[in-house]
Amino acid sequence: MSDCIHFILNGESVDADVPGTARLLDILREYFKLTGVKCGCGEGECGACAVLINGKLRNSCMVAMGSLEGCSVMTIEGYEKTEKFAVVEKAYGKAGAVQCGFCTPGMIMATEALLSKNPHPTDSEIREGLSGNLCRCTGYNMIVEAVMTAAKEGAGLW
Amino acid sequence: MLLIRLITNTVPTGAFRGFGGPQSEFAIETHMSHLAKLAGKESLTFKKEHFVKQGEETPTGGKFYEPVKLEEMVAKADSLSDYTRKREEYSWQKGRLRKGIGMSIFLHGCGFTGSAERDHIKAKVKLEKKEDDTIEILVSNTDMGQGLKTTLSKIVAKVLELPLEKIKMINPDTDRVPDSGPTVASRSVMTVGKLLERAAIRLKKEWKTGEYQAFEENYVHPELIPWDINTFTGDAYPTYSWGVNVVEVEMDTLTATTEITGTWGIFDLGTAIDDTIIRGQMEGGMLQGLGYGSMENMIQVNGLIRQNSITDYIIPTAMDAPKIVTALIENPYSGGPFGAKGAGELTLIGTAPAYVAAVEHAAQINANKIPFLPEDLIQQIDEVNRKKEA
Repeated sequence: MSDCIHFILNGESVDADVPGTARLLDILREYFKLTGVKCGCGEGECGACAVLINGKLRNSCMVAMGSLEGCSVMTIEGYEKTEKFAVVEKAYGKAGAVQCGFCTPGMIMATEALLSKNPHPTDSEIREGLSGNLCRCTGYNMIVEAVMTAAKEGAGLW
Repeated sequence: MLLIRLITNTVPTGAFRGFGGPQSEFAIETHMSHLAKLAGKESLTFKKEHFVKQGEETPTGGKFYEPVKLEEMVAKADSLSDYTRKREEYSWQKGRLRKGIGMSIFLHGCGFTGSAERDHIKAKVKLEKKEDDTIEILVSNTDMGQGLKTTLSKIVAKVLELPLEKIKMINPDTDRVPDSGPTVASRSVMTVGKLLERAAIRLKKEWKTGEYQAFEENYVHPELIPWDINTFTGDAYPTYSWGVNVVEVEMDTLTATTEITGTWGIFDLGTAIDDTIIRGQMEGGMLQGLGYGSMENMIQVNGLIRQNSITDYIIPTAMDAPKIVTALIENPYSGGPFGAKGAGELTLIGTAPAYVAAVEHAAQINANKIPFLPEDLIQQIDEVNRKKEA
């Protein structure tokens, strides 16, 4: 058995020859060059680095590589290729849910995590689903609207 | 000559969606409400008695040249939020659970202060028409999410009566773009956008299909009463944007928790070039101001900020964001493209004073600081109770 950590990254089997104590966030950005994953606070508060691990929303700054053996990791770069993303992207654009864009990759992963669990969320369920992702520009309501639109337009996808 | 050297260990301060605007506006509005109480008048009545009017003098001896639509804006705020009725209804509450509503009325200068545009910035823009009849905007201003590329492109497209896809604005490379000044001071759309509007008007007049053409425009200072940097007198700004904000709260006076149940923002920023972008500015600015007024605590002790990180410095989340209702009052300004004025900073400064006014109203206290935290509220409620017992 090799010394690498084996996991699925955006649908592809990968081996990462990295220390088990390294942060997933750094490995995604520096080793795999997936820079859609942002480092906002580096301490699990802001959600800019959010990814899906086995379908669950996780802040990649709080995940040690050693815990990923055999896991499936999805970043915005992988999600971007899905039909669901196209619906979310359109809804975000229509609602004006993006300003500086730094929170957007994490916000979109949070949207997917929410809709995959709850395809028809209420306003307050959306707010709770996005509450781990901080945005300083929009005031959130336009993002909430975007998620509502995505849920409606993408009926059947989730 | 006597030289005195002083050393300080206070943390340097910087801009927070404007240099000094948010702080001053909180102080001015809150001070006005407190004066109204001393005069035995309802806050809004007192403020209305002191509304400036078109043609009147500014505090620096400049002039308000443009129409001042405060009466209309307050009427709009009142009809959307039901402010006057609620203000009266919530005034005599005695129980543990209470409601409160507060209003702030404010202005913000548009563009650089005084003569900075004329003396230091000397903005220049360039508009290039390629041989395929597409247009490139060449300016040094950056789109940092405020929607500048869309807004400036829309201005040029509208003048030239071209579809938006024909206009290109790429991130500025200082090798290629003229110096149109920094992206600050709520100036980009009003000042740089106006220069682009002028360049586009010239291009339209001299349009030659299939040929390369380029037009440059230089800043012209609209100075009426000259700004004197030594005495700080004259026209500090070419014009002003205006706002009326209303915040409604529900409060538990035992636990000192306050929930924001409604927020309204009426703005006069000349004309909106793009409604969605302006809504983003209004809602984003208003929530930022609510965070600033209600929760964003930053304490300095011995030269250190006690809030080490975003874990300690709490900003609003999606769950903290109240419903925000916004409306625009049209008031086109001839010095801005299609009448547009500054919009970036204005949207932040009104909600903190309106929030504090609502808290004061519910708790029947005077508040003199922001953020006004539950700890501050419980302290003041205790004081009121102690006075009542004594």
